[in-house]
Amino acid sequence: MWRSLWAALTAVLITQSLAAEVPGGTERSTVYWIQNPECLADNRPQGAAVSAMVHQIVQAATGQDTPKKAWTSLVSPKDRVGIKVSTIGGPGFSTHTEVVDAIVDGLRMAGVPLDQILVWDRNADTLSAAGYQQRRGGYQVRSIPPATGYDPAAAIDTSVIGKLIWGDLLFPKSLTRRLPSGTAQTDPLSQTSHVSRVLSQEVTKVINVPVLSDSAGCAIAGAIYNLAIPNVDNWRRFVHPDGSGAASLAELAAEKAIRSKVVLHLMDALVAQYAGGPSASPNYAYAHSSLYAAFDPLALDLTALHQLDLWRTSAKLPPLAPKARWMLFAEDLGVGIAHPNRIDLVAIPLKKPHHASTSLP
Amino acid sequence: MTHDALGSHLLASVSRSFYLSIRVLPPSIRAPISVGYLLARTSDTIADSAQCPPALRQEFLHSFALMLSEGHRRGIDALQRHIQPPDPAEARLIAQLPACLDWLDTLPKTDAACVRSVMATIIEGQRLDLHRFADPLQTIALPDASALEHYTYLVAGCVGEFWTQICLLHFPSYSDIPAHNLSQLGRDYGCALQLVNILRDLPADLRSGRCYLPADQLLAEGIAPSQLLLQPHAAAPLFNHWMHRAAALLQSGASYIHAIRPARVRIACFLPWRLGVKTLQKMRETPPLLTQTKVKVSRGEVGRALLLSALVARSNFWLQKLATPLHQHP
Repeated sequence: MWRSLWAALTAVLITQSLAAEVPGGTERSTVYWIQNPECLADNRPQGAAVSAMVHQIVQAATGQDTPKKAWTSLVSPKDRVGIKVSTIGGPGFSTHTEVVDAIVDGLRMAGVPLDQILVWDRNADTLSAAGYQQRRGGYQVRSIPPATGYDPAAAIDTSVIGKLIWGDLLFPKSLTRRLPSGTAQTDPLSQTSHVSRVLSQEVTKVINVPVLSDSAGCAIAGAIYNLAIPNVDNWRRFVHPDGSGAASLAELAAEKAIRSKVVLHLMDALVAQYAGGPSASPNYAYAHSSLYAAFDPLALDLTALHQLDLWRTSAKLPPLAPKARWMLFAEDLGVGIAHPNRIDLVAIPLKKPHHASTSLP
Repeated sequence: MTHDALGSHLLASVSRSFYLSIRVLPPSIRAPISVGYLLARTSDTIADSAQCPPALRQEFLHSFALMLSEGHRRGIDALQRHIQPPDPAEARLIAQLPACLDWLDTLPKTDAACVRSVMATIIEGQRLDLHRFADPLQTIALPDASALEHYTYLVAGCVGEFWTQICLLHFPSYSDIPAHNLSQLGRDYGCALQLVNILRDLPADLRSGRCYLPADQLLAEGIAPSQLLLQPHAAAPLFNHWMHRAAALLQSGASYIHAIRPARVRIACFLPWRLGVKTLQKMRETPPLLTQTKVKVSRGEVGRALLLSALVARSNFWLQKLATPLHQHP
């Protein structure tokens, strides 16, 4: 009798532990959204309005009653804080400097010195074109140098294989020399990527500031894309236009080396792009005048993806959702929540004027 | 009740003219606008439930706001027990509140967040109103013009912003003018419709102790709020001043319709605008304070508005022609 009772008890315990892991579990994520149509004038961000939005959404996300407390809850003066921007879209479609300036102000409120604040992305040219240049006495601006910018000790293996090119850490040095004509050459292939030294060695905390963009390869170039793809070498395999490598993006996003230092994902959706991304494609750009914030990058990306699909439906473009199945896998790997019914979207109310704007006749 | 039934039978029974607008909307935005309307109408029913003491109505409005913001259903039984409107359509609305909240939960996240946000503002306005006019035995006037502007924003101007926000979320090419300008026009348009209603309902509101004309302006005209019904001619300049204001705000409504693209949304926006303009014209001919009968737009006029909306759907020429009288006089 005791044996059967023990077996029944064990069965109950196993069932309960599995229930906690299946996607229909009870964990929830919250995404915060703030929209202010006045933050753009002639499609140019208005610094004061953007700054107010940034501080307001960070306050809401952290549950603090002042901006200073909000930022202090995320970082300490000893931290070396990295702001991961997205500049692949060049001057037309990158993380706006006004958003970054507001974040830097917030970090300074929390006591982080300017020389401990580092803004980075993979490419020096796109960083510069997007307005991020090293200024004396300002925050640090850093790109990831080809090959030497990746940390050999921070290697990540995933299931999809990629063709190495110059700039990847494992690209054979022999192939950098010009080969005699007629020499047979085998493509160097690898399943390994390496994390950038900026992420693995230089920063202690990260604020991830993606833009709201689609991606042909993985549906959305949002929080996960911005954190993972530009921070590793041998990355092209994850975003192949046929979507074949997207599942491995989930593996990449689940890596501790990629996500452990992130304290906040703050999506710059002042201007969004619902097709042709993540490169700039003005035909599909849209002044959304919004910021989104979350601690869960997957919930943030899923929320943003639904918004992109609303616009795409209106523009008679095919939906992105079928290309986003990797998100369910990412949830299984513990990246976050990928089920809309377990994501709460909280709209942050703006302070409204107390009277209508039209003057009396 | 299914979402379809809520959006058709229930909505038609409580909204009359607004239902016409909702029916022509593109399907993708019909649901958020319908849910928003039903929830706003619910809070309005709570606020206006005369058989329930004002303090209790305040509590129910507060718990309704929490149901919306926190997504729970606590307090719904007590609300349904105490709020029993005599109007059968409104009674059905209260009975179907759980279904409306369920419908809200099924909307796209951004749409639902917009509905929750606008409802918070509307309920704030209704609670302010309830607090202000708590004593039905006294005629109380709003203190000044900014209080009236603020009230019209809270209960209607914010709806113009909400409408704009929802449309922008669904139609990337909704308008060529910047979102903030469009939102401002939408806000003014919403305020216009509310101001028209306030002016039309002035006598009925006065009889229940509510005076929406500002006390300081009445004082300048030498009238006490409680004497307004007895001295309607003395209030004429002030009434005309607010008629001008409503006309100017309706002009923003015309600019709003002028600026947007989707034909169905233009029709939906045009209908209330046209009825507002017609109500304003009727009030100019027969000021509400000088008549016993309620100023009302006829069914024939509603029919004509529907016909005209077909012209305005794709042509700004006709819209400009119809808006011209607003420039000439209120």
